[in-house]
Formats: sequence, C-alpha cells, structure tokens
Amino acid sequence: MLQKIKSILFIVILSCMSTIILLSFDSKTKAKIKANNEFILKKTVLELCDFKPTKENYDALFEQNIKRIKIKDKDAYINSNGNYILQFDGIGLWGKLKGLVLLNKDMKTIENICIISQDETPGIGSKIADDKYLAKYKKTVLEPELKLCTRKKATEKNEIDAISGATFSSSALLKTINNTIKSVRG
Amino acid sequence: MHFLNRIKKTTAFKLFKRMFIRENAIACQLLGLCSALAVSNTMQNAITMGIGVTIVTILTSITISSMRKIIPHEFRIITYMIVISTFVIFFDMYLKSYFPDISKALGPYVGLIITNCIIMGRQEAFASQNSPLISIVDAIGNGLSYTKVLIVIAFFREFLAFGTIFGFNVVNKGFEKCVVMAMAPGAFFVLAIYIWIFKSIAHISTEK
Repeated sequence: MLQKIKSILFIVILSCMSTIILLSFDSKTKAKIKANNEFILKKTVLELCDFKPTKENYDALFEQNIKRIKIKDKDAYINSNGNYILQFDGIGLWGKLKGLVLLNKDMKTIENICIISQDETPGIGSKIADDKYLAKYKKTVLEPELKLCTRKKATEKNEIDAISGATFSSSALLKTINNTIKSVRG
Repeated sequence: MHFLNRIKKTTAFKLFKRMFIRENAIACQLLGLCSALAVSNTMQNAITMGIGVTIVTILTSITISSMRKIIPHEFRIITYMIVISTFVIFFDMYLKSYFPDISKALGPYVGLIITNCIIMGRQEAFASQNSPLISIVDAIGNGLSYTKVLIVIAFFREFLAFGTIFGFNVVNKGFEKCVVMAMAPGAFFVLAIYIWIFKSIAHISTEK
C-alpha cells in the first residue's frame, strides 16, 4: 500500500516539475514567438505592396504605409495608395491555402498576390505559389469574376491559365480568391 | 597515436561504435521509421531533425539514468514519456522563438520526436540500467546513427526530387526531376534500398 502511494507520488511530483519548467520557459519565449509571427505577417504585407522590408525597418515602414481596417467585419489592410490588402483562406487539394491579395480601390482589379502557406503536391500543384504563376493574376479584373482556362489560352482580362497537371490546385486558388473578393464587395 | 589507441580500447568507444555502425537504430533495430520517412526530404530538415533527436535522447538519458534508482518499476514507461515530452516541447519552443524558418519547415514533425521509438527504446534498454556517463555515450551513438541514415536518405531524395544539394542547385535544365521522391512513396523506396544494402553488408561481414 505504502509502495503504491510512493509510486503515485513520484509521478505527481515529476509531472508538476515538468509543468513548472515548461511554463517558465513558455513565458520567456511567448513574446518572441508572437513577435516572429507579427514580423512574418507585416513583412509579407509590405512585400506585396512592392516595399523591401528588412529586420530593422519593417515596423517603421508598416506604421507609415499600412493601416489596419475592417471590411464587413473582416480584417484587412489599406496602403498609402488606397489599395486594399485582403487575406484569403481556402482549401486546396491536400490542405489549407492561405495568402494575401492586393486589391485596387475599385475592388475589381487585382494588383498582386502572394501565398503564405499551401500544402499542394510538391513540384506540380505547389507551382501555384511560384512568382511566375502568380504574375498571371496581376492586373486581372473581376468582371464579374475570374475564370480558369484549361483548354485554351487565357485572353480576356478575367481569365487565368491553369497549370497542366494541377487543374484542381489552380482552380482551388482561383475559387478562393473569387469568393474572398466577392464577400467584401457585397 | 598511442593515446588514440587507448581511447579505442575503452568500453565507451566500443559502445559508441556498436551503436553508430552495427546496431544502427533505423537499419538494424528498425526504430524511428515514421519520422525518418517524413523528414528526410531535404538535407536541411534531416540535419535539424537528427540534431533534435540526438539532443533530446542525450538529455533524457542523463535524466532517466540519474533517477534510475527511484523510478517505480510499474510506472517507468510513463516516466520516460513525461521526461521525453518535456524536452521535446522545450526544443519546439526554442526552435519557434530563435529559428522560425526551420520550425516552419519541420512543421508538426518536431512534436513527433516524442513518438520516436528510438528514444523510448534506449531508455528502457540502457539508460534505466546504467550510469549517466555511459548512457550519454549510448545516446550520442544512437542519435548520430539516426542522423546519419536521415542524411543519406535526404541526399538522394533532395537530389532526385529537386535537383539540389542542401539548397544549392547542381543540375542544369535538362535534368528530369523525379517528384515522387519528395513524397512518402519515394521515401519508402530509398529507405528500403538502404536497409537492404546495410543488411547485405552486415551479412557478408559476419560470414567472414
């Protein structure tokens, strides 16, 4: 009986010590981890607007040029030109699709896009995150919405070429962007 | 030279050599395969994961070996789990704060170090019965043998799937990239071939 109590006491004490150590380390690193995430987000927003942020000046650049706003209850940013920066969240073939889109103040023309995270097939679907492919989205107009071209080359202002062999990923990206922009346009 | 020979004769070195080469954690004991398959897609990930596993194994071995006389026998697995989890969460938080890029690349697999059978296996088989100093040697041997296998597999997978070695492009445009090597099936192929070659060499050398 005493032996059992001793054993259980051992486990309880060990767990408490482990918890205390982890909590104290967590309180030390919490601020740094939050700062890292802030840095990545601000850096991505600035790079989307064609700035070149560095570790020293990213905060100042962000304060000067970007303002946080809410469009229809969604978090967004507005830069000094009056263009909107929206975050889009969608589902690709294998996992979540997350990125930012720089939208003209008319809420119809896309100026720039970048992808924050994607889980598509490496080498094929993951090409949707390549700058070369995302450049196709520049200066496209949502009139009434973007269309994916799989059988012919994109000619109109609202058409985007799909990637051969990655139709699903290309289409997922396009649909996510369409839905995000339509939801703020109302 | 005499000093080196003396080192080679010590128990510690013989143990290290046995763990590092002969009783290789992945190829011989067939432990830690899940994370080996997942993280060996690029050499940078392989080295980071290998270092993580080695550090966690060393720290856990020291802790468990120091406590080995007071760990209650029926709760020993729980004890190993608590200690391993503490060190892995520690390592995860450390990576997230000071190396966020590497943390993002490794993703959820750092947490999976907790499930790595190599660490648990070494605690049960060695650290719980031997003194701390020799347990450190055992931990280093096993951790480094895991790292070694990961690096070899990652070398082939990264080269065939992306045409790069450690991030540096080494092929020209004509190189046909084998994308399946970046995914799980490719990992299975390379790992299986590695184990096959390892066992063949071991078989030949014991036949001698």
